[in-house]
Amino acid sequence: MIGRKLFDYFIEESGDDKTVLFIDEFPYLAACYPPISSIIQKYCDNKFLNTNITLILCGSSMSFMENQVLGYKSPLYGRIDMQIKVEPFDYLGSSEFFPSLNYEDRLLAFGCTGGIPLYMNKLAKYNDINEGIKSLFFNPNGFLYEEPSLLLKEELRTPNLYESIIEAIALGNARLNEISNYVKEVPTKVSKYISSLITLKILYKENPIGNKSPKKGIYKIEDKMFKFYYSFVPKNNLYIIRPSLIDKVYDQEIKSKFNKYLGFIFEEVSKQYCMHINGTPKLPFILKKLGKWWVNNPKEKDKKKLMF
Amino acid sequence: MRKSELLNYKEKYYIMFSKKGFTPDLIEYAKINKVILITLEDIYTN
Repeated sequence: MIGRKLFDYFIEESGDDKTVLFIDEFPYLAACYPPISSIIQKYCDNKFLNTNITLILCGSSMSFMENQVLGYKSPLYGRIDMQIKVEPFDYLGSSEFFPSLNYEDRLLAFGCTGGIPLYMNKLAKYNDINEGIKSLFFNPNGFLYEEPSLLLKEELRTPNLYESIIEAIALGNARLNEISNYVKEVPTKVSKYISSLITLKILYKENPIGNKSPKKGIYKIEDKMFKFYYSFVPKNNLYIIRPSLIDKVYDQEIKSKFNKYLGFIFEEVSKQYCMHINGTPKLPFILKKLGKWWVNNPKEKDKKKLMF
Repeated sequence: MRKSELLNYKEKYYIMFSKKGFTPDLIEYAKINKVILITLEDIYTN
């Protein structure tokens, strides 16, 4: 009833004027009031047809938006004119959130927030980036301390194995058998879980450029906030729950490991930069493909991997 | 650069990235070879 009253009110109020009706957090609304999708469907098919109303449905739960809004079983299937996946900021956009930081710290800020505006706003409130990271990630009351778990719970029914898989990859296990060994589950099961995490854009599979063979691919973490979190937080949990210890451990141990992590972020940012200057006089050629390439070294018997 | 001998292309360029910058020798070398040097500052300012 509430939905119909609201939509009728809008139709009446807007008349012939161009009107935008924006519903944010649509998955939560649908969870509280499941008939809403069917009601919207009826309005899209009838009363909205002769109006100038644009309806925008917004939600951060990708599984819900993709399956229950865009999916073919959804009442709204086929009624969407445009779908936009709002991507995180790239390193340049992220940089504008942190004008007072030096470039290396901006790289770290991008590397731990993944370019998500909400997380960047939280981090930008601190004058000192290390204070910010410590307060947000390495603190039981910190905003990002449980964020990855909460996001996984929102998307998936059994987050535990998913978390172990992400942690395995964050700690350097890149192939299916290595990940399976780490999480102590059979590869067939792990493979299915990995597929779900790829759909959620938390993981991705990287192949040597020009080689699409599935056997050559390695798994990596696409979401940088997840990568940062699972690289550092779970293994320091014992210290995090004792605030007197975390200050010391952060300064003496955790911080010194950021440099290695920044290597990975710098590689990502370098790729984004190459695409940014592609087609400009800064490059004497035009890039068609960009990626990593590795191969067994034919000159060495131990078949050591060569990374480029 | 030794690794790139595995790639059989006539014309090859190298783009090198460094967070901290490059030595004067490498900067001189890059000027006369197909080497492009990019620093963290370039990435943020150019």
